[in-house]
This record gives sequence, structure tokens and C-alpha cells, in this order.
Amino acid sequence: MKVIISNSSPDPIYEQINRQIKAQIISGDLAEGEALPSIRKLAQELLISVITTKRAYDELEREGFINTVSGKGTYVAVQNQELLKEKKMKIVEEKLAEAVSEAKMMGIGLDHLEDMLKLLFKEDQ
Amino acid sequence: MRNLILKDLVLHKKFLAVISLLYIAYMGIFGSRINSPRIFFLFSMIMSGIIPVLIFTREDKFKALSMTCSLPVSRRQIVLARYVLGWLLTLIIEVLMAGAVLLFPGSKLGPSDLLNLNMFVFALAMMTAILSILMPLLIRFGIAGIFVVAIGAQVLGIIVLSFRFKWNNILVALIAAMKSVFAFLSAGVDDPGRLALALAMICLVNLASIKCSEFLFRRKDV
Amino acid sequence: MNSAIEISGLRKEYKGFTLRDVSFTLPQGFIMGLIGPNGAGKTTIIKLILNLIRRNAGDIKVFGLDAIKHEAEIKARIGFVHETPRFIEDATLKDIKLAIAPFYEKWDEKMFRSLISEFALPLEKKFKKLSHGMKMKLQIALALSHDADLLLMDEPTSGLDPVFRRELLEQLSGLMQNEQKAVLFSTHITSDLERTADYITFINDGEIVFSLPKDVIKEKWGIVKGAKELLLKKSRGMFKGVRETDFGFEALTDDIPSARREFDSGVVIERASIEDVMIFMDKGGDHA
Repeated sequence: MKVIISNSSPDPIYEQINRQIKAQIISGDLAEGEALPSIRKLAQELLISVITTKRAYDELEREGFINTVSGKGTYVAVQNQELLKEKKMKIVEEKLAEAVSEAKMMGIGLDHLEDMLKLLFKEDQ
Repeated sequence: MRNLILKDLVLHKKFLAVISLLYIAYMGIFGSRINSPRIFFLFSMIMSGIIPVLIFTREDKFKALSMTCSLPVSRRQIVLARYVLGWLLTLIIEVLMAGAVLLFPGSKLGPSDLLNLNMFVFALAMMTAILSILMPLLIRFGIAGIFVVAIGAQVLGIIVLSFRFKWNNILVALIAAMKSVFAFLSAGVDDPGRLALALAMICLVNLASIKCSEFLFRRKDV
Repeated sequence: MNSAIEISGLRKEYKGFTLRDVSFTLPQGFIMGLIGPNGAGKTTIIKLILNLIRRNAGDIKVFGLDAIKHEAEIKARIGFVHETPRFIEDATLKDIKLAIAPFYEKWDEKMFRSLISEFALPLEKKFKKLSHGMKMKLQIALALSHDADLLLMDEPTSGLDPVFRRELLEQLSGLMQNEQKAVLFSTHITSDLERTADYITFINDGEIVFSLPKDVIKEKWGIVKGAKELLLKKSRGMFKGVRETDFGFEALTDDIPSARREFDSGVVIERASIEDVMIFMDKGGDHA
């Protein structure tokens, strides 16, 4: 699990943690059932308040991303696959919307855009 | 309480060692001038009674009392430990000095002079007198407590002398009382009844002093 | 949640200074920073908890027990660090440890040895020969070596460099893995608390100004900076402290969203550091 907090960021620390963990769960970097460090361990490693880490975990739990089993620890929750797919789609959708609006601004047509998409897909393969 | 006593012994060990050696040397050299056992005890008791006083004022000097009071002990235990340590030190140093006086050449005192019951009770009475008065004052006033005694005694003396005519009757009675106590002590404790009484009084005075010290110490801000 | 320390209505009168109406709670499992300017009463509070001085009024409970009735029992579980370390000057560090360790049932000799070597403290040296910083390190080593459930530290990092300060914070953080432990840490070096403190209690001139979770301060408190003309009389009231310069004003608010609404765009709002809070509320308290 990777968490990097910035003290100069306008976002409160618990939000930064929340966002980063969420992103890793959605992208699959954090697998289902994988164990997360305890709130105290995380606080120790990052040298921050345990109230902060608890808040981040509480929100993640409320949003359904993690589960805390008392006495055992915190684990990445089994993700509702539909929901997960939806979330992933949404992220890509947002990126595409950005590309589309840029294209329109620069006068690049849909055909051009489709060609670019095909080329990019082929590149990875 | 044992920990408190050990603590003071460990922390002041160098000081104690030096003083003990000085005292023994002193008694060895000058002890031969002492003729009477009573004088010896009077003199040596004052000398050894000062030791616990010095130890406690050392703690006061370094302001280390706040450390002691932060340890897992009650104020009562601290006071009791001081009394026990005081008695212990005085007794040990007393024994050392008696040994020096007896063993060094030219001594006019023999074992039978010092090692008898009367002298023993006399010694205890002296120690009680010194410690019982000094301890509460030390606890309440710290190092200044000694000055309180010295100055207080002077002031008392001046007052008494100034009013000696007005208070003549009271003074006469007081002096008579003191004389009888003295006579009592001097007469010895060969009688088991007197022995019991003497020991009881010694215990009582000590207890009263301890209670007084506890009371004062509980109220002290360190 | 159990409280490590529960103080209510505490009062202590001195000739030129009175500690009054002090109430706050430190729950188990957390670190609380006690901040305030010199002479505000931080040391007085710690001394009152340890019953070194007598209170005029109020209640103090440690681990749920009355601080006076169960004095010895409580102190067996407290590791203390006094602002001014005092031991018998002639004693060596080794003697001091020898004298103190037996008082604690849970004394951990191994822990003490490892701390001594980590802090580079010479055991054979006399106490009087140590620098102030080393004397503090000794106290810290003693305090951490008997599995104390509560650490009471009064300016523990004074005279110590940032490297050691960070080391100490890491030690404390490690300690807090155990939910039964608690730390009360008084300091005027607020940077020590910026990261690891869970709660901040601010005391000034003998009174508690606030006792809050640090996150609340970090999120809601800010410094509003702008041109002097923007500072109308009615806006002053919303600030906890104001500072005016020739070039503009700076003000501390405990409600950033409101400040944003009030001033719209004409100002810069930055998050307040704990140091800012202390500075603005000390001087600026009168102006606002």
C-alpha cells in the first residue's frame, strides 16, 4: 500500500489518505481481502495523529471499500463487481470527456479522434 | 520505604563515607580527652544527629525533593523513611565513634563505661531530643529549619530573660520540671519500671514528632 | 473509552498568578500537547497532577483514580519528565538509576540500556557534569523504562536538537501502538506537535483557552490576510486574533468557510499552524 501525504496540500490529510487508498482499491493495486495496516501503525509510519488515520479508515469503511474485523484487523472489502466496474468506467469516461472537449476546441473531428484511439490501443499491444 | 532508604544511601554514599572517616579520625584523636561517658554521648550524639540533617538539607540544596515526590511513594512513606534513615545513620555513626574512642590508645573510657543500659537509654533520649525537634522543622522550612532552631532558641532566651521577673513563678516551675526530668534520666534505669517508662516516653516523643512531620509534609509544595 | 487524565475545576493560587477553572480530559490511547507561552501554567498543571503542589480547588483523576488518594499506585504507572531535572549533583548516572529503578515493579533494564546507548549517555559521569540536554535525555530514558501507562512530559525537548526531537516523537509514536498508553506533552516548541499530537490544549495566563482535536485546528483554523480596509469593525469580532502591519492585516479565524464567505475574494486564507494559533491568541486576543 502506498500513501504519500503532502503537508502543503489544501486537502486535509485524512482526505488525501482516503483518496489514495480508494484509487488503489479501484485500480486493483490493493487486492480484495488484502490486509491494511492498523490505524495506529499507519499513524506511526506517517508520523501523524491516529485520529486522522481513524477518520480516513472510517470513511473508507462507510463507503464500502474496507472492512474492520475487531480483534483481527482491517481488510480490503470484497468489492461489488458491478459497482467497481461502474467506478472504473466513470474514471475513464471523465478522461475521455476531457479529450473530447479539447478536440472540439482545437477543431479535431470525431473521425480523427477515433483513429487516434485505435493507434493508442495498438501501441500498448 | 526500603527503596527510599536505599536511594538516599546510594545517592549520598560518597558524602557519608567521607564524614564517617572524619568523625572516626576526630574521635580517635580527641576522644582520649573525654572523661565521662555522659559527656561522650552528649557530644557524639550531636555530631551524629547532624548527619541525617545534612543529608536532607543536601536534597534541599539540589532541589531534588520534587524528584523524590514524583516517585511511586506517598508523602507519609517519605517522612517515615527519613526518620528510619536518620536513626539508622545516627546509630551506625555513633557505634563507629564509640569504637574509635574505645580502641584508640590513651582513651580514658572503657567498654564498661559506654556499653551499659543506662548509657544506652541516655543515648536514645538524646537522639530523640535532637531528631524530634529538627525533623519537623527541616521538613517545613528546609535548610532554613536549622536557622529557625538557632534563632528561635536565641529569641526565646531573650524573651525569657526579659520577662524573668514577671514570669518568675512559671519559670521556677519550668526549671524545676526540667531538673526533675534530668534527675530522672540521670538516676538511671536499673529499675525495670523506670526503664519501661523511659522507653515509653522515648517512643511517644518520636511518634509525636513523626505525626507532626507528616502533617507538615503533606502541606508542603515542592 | 477510558480517560488517562480527567481534570475538572482545577484551581491553584499563587501570589502573582492564579490557575483557574482548568478542565480537560486526555483519553487513553492518545497524545495531547499542552501549549502556551512561558508562565501560562503548564508546569503548574503537571505538578498538580503529580501532587507535588497542593490545589486550592478541583478534581484530578488519573486512570480513573483520585490523584491524591491513590498517589503511589498511580505514580507507579507514570513516567515523568520535569522541566528542570534535579538530582543529587554528585551522583553518577549509574547511581541515579540504581536508586530509582527499584521503585518500579515493571522496570525494564534492557530497555534502559538500549536507550542509554541510543542517547549516548555516559553512565559513569556525574550528574552535574551533564549538559541540560543530556539531563533531559536521562529523564526521558528513565521515564520510558518502566512500561509507564502515562507519560507526563514538561518541555522534554528543551535544549535538544531537531534530530533528537524527531527521535523522541518516533519513540512516542511507537509507544502509542498500545491503546492503553497516553502522553501529555507540554511544550512551547509547537513544531513537535504539528504532526503527532492528537489533541491540543492551549493554556494562557492560567486559563484553558481551548482543548480540541488537532485535526479540527488543522482544518478549520486559518490565517486570513488582506488589505487593511477590508478589516471593518464588524469583521474583527469573527477573529480570534488580529495583527496589523503597514501593509495589511493578518487575522486568525477558527472557521475558514465563514471567513471565505465573508471576504469573498479579496483575501488570502492559509491554514494556521499550531504556532500561529499560539501567537495570535496570545497577543491578538485583546484586539479581537
